[in-house]
Amino acid sequence: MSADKDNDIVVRTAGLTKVFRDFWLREKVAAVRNLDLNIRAGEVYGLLGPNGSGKSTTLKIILSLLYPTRGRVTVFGKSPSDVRTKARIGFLPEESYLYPFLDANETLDYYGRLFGQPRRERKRRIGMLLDMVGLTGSAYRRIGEYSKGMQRRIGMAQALINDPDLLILDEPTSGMDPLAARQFKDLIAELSRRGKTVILSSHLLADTEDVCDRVGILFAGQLRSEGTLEDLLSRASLTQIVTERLDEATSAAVRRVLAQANKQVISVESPKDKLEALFLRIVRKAQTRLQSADSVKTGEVAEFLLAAPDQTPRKVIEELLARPEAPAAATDQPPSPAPPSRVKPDSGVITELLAKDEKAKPTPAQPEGTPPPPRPTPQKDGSVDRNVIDELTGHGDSEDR
Amino acid sequence: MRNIWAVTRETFLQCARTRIIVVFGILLAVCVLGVGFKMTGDGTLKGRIQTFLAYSTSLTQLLLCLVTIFLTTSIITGDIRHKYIFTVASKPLARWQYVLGRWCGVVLLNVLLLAAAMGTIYALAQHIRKQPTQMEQKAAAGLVQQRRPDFDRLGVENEMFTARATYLPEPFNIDRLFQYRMKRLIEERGEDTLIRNHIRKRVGDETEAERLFHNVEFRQKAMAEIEFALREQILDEIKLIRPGKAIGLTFTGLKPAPADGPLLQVRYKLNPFKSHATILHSFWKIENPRTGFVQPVPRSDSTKTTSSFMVDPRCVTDDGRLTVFYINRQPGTIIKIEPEEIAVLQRVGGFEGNLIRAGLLILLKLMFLAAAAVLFGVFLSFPITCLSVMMIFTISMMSGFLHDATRLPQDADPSAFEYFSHYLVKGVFTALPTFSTTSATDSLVDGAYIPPRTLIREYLITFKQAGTGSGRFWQTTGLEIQAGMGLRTILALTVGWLIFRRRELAGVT
Ligand SMILES: Nc1ncnc2c1ncn2[C@@H]1O[C@H](COP(=O)(O)OP(=O)(O)OP(=O)(O)O)[C@@H](O)[C@H]1O
Ligand SMILES: [Mg+2]
Repeated sequence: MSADKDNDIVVRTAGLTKVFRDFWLREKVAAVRNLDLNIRAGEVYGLLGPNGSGKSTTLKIILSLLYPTRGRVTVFGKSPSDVRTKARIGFLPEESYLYPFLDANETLDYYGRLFGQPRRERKRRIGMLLDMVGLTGSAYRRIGEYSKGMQRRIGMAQALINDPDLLILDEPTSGMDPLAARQFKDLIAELSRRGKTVILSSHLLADTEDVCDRVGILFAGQLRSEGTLEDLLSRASLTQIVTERLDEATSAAVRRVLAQANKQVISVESPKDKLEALFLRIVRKAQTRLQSADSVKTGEVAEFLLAAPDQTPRKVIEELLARPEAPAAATDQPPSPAPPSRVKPDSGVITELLAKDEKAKPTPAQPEGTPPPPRPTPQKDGSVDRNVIDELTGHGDSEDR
Repeated sequence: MRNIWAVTRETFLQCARTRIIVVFGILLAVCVLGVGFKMTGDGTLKGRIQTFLAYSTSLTQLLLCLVTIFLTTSIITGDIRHKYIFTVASKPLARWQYVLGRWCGVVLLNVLLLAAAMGTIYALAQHIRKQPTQMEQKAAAGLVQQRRPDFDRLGVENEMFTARATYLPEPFNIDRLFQYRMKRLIEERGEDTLIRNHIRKRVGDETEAERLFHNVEFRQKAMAEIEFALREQILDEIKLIRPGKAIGLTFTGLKPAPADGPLLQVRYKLNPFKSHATILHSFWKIENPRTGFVQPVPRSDSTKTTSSFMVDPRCVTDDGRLTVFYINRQPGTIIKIEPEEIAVLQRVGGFEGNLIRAGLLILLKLMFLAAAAVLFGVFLSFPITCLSVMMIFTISMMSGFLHDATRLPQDADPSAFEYFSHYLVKGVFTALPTFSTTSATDSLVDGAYIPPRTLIREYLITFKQAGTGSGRFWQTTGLEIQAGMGLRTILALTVGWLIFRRRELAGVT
């Protein structure tokens, strides 16, 4: 945000205000109020907020689909309506706004043409993208026939056809199954690693948490809080230790040590799998058994979207299970076993995961500690209990701007 | 360029996917070609072809106009309504490229549909042409010996499957006659009396007339008016041909034709002056003064209808002149010939070329309607756009009629309402094109040549001599510039783009 980093800033809004008026020019709603955003290159920025808080409106202004009532917007230092700007942007709108009478192939072909891509390049990318979003089998079916998630997938492919420098995603994972959602989150991480900038809006907090470097929380058109996830989420006053299962004796010993140090134990429990991880495991098991083309399967990440040109496309299953060094999640804590993205690459992982099936039932564990309310769940960047909803609804001790 | 083509292509695909093409095809096949093909007209082969051409081309045009209005409107408004425009507009596609691409797509579709329709019409017309005429049928059955010329066949070949230019007679040079008559008038009446009487007639008041008479400027004006009136009178008199008298009309600019070249045609209408004669006898003489070739034509025509006869190509001189003499052989009846009502027709092109030019004229209307639909579609909803463009379509079709209906009365003082309607219609008339100026259908039915000049006029711009008459016999009073429909199309697209550029695509309408 400092002045010397000016060139780094991809999207800058200053005093951005959008007031919707009715036919008689009477003010109806101020969807965005005095918004100052500075989104830096290579950053994954999450725009959070409840329904109607102005997320989509902000994104549309950045895309010049709406014009600001007051304030300024620049994208790559230029006006958002400049075609040179648009050539570097990929956009996934909140719903599938694609021509229903075109098939997936034709759709991607059309958008590729709009970027002036030569025929061969287009063909190459379309093939890879369709494979990546798992629609190769349905490439010649009209989009109008697609299920919501399939439309979302093709929408995502459409947004990536130009290998954009700035990717704008309006609720990217809405309507997607967890498998696809996971894949897209990984894709975003991959793109971010390549220095691409991503702005996404969402009210799915888990999604945002997984991928975003920085989030801004909007409420009623105003930015209420902004910062890195680290800053916003880490609770310096708590420490979480994850170990192998402790027997009674060891557990008691630990408690004793803690009591000596005058530290209160808040909770002791077995870490639970997230439902997401469970789902992924079950679906994967089914998939390996049944290699039918019926349901939508995802494929390799399109080569042109990968970081290094020499990097070979990886199978998505591996992609899902093995995540090389997470982009911006610098953490000194041992990785928690729960989210699949944390699991280290290992040839036996699939079988191991599948074997764990019964054990991973999300049964409520009995908290042994006395004060139940703040229940730490294993999380990416340290244990979190502060509910972001509080932040959104203004109940929390949010640092209002 | 590439992304304009992308939009064009997508538009085309979209049109092709909506079932409208199928509906259009069926409608065209059933109503237009089927009905037109079955109609027999007046029983002659020529009549049948004329009816067929009239029906098929005009209905094709109507159908295509409706299809164009409907498709363009639904595509453009649909893009905005269904928010397809979000993904499109966030790609590097300038707004003008979108507008142009959409328009080009519809026009491309129209070109193909029109080509298909015109091709079918051509094939069917050729098919009808091959059918036997009544006389040929009888000859085939051995009922008549084919000795007399088969006028039906001649008509088909010389009037239908051809493209003939129309030549109007040269204006009479009445200068010498006028000078002579003027001199006599002044000699008989005296210049002063003449002017004094004229002024008196104009102002009505004796003393005022006397005062004006001594005003030199006013005297000159009065004299000019007298001269003008005399010219008009002479021109009127020339049109009247007494029994036994003759009139010679010269046509210039014709193509000198070889002796075996296509026949020419003289088309005329004789008006008996203050008489109730029903059959008019006349004698025509067509002469080539250079070679001395003469073609005599005795005729008996019914009144009030347009008649015609064929002329040997040898009558045309090397420099493209044709002189036609008319001799009134109707005892006791004066005949009046209006100069606009006599013409020479000469083949200057083929039927095929003419059909293509007629197609281009139809295409122009479609291009304009598509542009109008784009113009309204970028900011109005589907039903309102459809309605607006339909209105434009209807007004443009009827503009000639509307213009006449609201003409200011010449004799009485116009009422406020008449003024209002006149200027309203005049305003609308100036803004909108006239679809009826050159009718593709009429030209084809008449076998009338559509000169490239007409295409240029319709597509680009016209410099028209102002005045109410049809030109030649009238004095010109100025130059009227009228934008062709092509220019209006460009204008509509430009305005559409300007509106679209300011439009917030994600705003609700
Ligand atoms: N085109 C429009 N015309 C009028 N009001 C609009 C328009 N678009 C959005 N709004 C209003 O602006 C406010 C913000 O809407 P916006 O779509 O940005 O919300 P959002 O944060 O994306 O919500 P959600 O999570 O439901 O997608 C809402 O009150 C909405 O009614
Ligand atoms: Mg939204």
